[in-house]
Amino acid sequence: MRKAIIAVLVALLVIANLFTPFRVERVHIMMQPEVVFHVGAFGITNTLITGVLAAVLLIVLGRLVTRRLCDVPGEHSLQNALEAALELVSGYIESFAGEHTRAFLPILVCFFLYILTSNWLTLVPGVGSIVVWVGEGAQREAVPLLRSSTSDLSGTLALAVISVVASQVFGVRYRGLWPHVTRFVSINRFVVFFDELIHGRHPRLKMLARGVLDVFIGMLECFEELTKVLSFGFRLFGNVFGGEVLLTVMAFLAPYVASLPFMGLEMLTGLIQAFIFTVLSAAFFARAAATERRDESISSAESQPATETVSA
Amino acid sequence: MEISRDLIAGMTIAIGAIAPALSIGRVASAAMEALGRNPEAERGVSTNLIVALAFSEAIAIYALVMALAIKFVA
Repeated sequence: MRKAIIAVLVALLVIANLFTPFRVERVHIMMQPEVVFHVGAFGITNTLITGVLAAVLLIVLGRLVTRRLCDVPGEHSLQNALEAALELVSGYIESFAGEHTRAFLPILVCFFLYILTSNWLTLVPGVGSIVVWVGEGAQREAVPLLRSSTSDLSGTLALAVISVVASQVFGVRYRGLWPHVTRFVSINRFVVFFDELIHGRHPRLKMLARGVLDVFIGMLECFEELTKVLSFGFRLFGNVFGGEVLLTVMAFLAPYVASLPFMGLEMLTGLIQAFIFTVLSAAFFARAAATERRDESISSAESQPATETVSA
Repeated sequence: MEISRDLIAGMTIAIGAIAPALSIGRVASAAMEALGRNPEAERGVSTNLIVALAFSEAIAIYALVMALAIKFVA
């Protein structure tokens, strides 16, 4: 009996998917966000609206949770849920950042919660399906009112730029301005070489050769910061936008039920990508803020003779 | 002979998915081996596995972004 019911349900599902009258006629995928309205010359896009909405959601959530803080939150309280999220992130960050964990935590948890909210907003009914009419006459077209801000390349690149700039700030703060700058413009060995030259000591050509190498490594470091922005931005954007395209195409192929598992997959992807962004930022922050001592222990083998001759 | 944009987009993601597929296979097989040898380390291994998989997947995602850009950006 049960088997018969299941068979009928599956058959109905297949028939419904094959012969539905409510089929999507053509897939309309836009990579760039659509402008909903203008403020002066500045076009307000749907991703910007959703980004602000996500931020407002998080602010309201934060106010709600911190209004009545208690030491031991209830099992099903909002505070408990948020503390669980915080703990998940902070426990992982600690393995990278060590002593700097508390300094890095606010911005990293901010990244995590904002990206997570934006990613999951994609799956909320109404986001992407509520449309407004934009334009005049022949160019009048339906534009989705809401669209997740992480499915916009500008949005993810902005997050990436914030992350990279923050890593510079932490580098300056914990290593000092000059040590941080010499990571990119590494002229320490040149300085030693010319110092020896001016003071009439026997200059070592090895120092000059290594100095030239250092300059190229410094250039590479500069280039790396740039590629970091691109890889951060592209990774997040590609995952979220690719997920949106996947959901759209699945809804086009099989409108009923069959696209549900992919929604679960997208929830998982959204969580993992938010986590990846956060953890990767933490790793780069920690690298930028790595104190002088650790740096010297890495390059002690080559810097040892230099200090000897300078002091001699 | 004119090569269509659709073909280019398809080739981009098809070729671009080869290396990440291999790397995901390697990462997963190494993780399974570690789990087989040391089953009580499951928590640490699976977290790191997911992170490593996401990094490998990111390479395929770059190809996907390029393919989508070729297909949908006029």
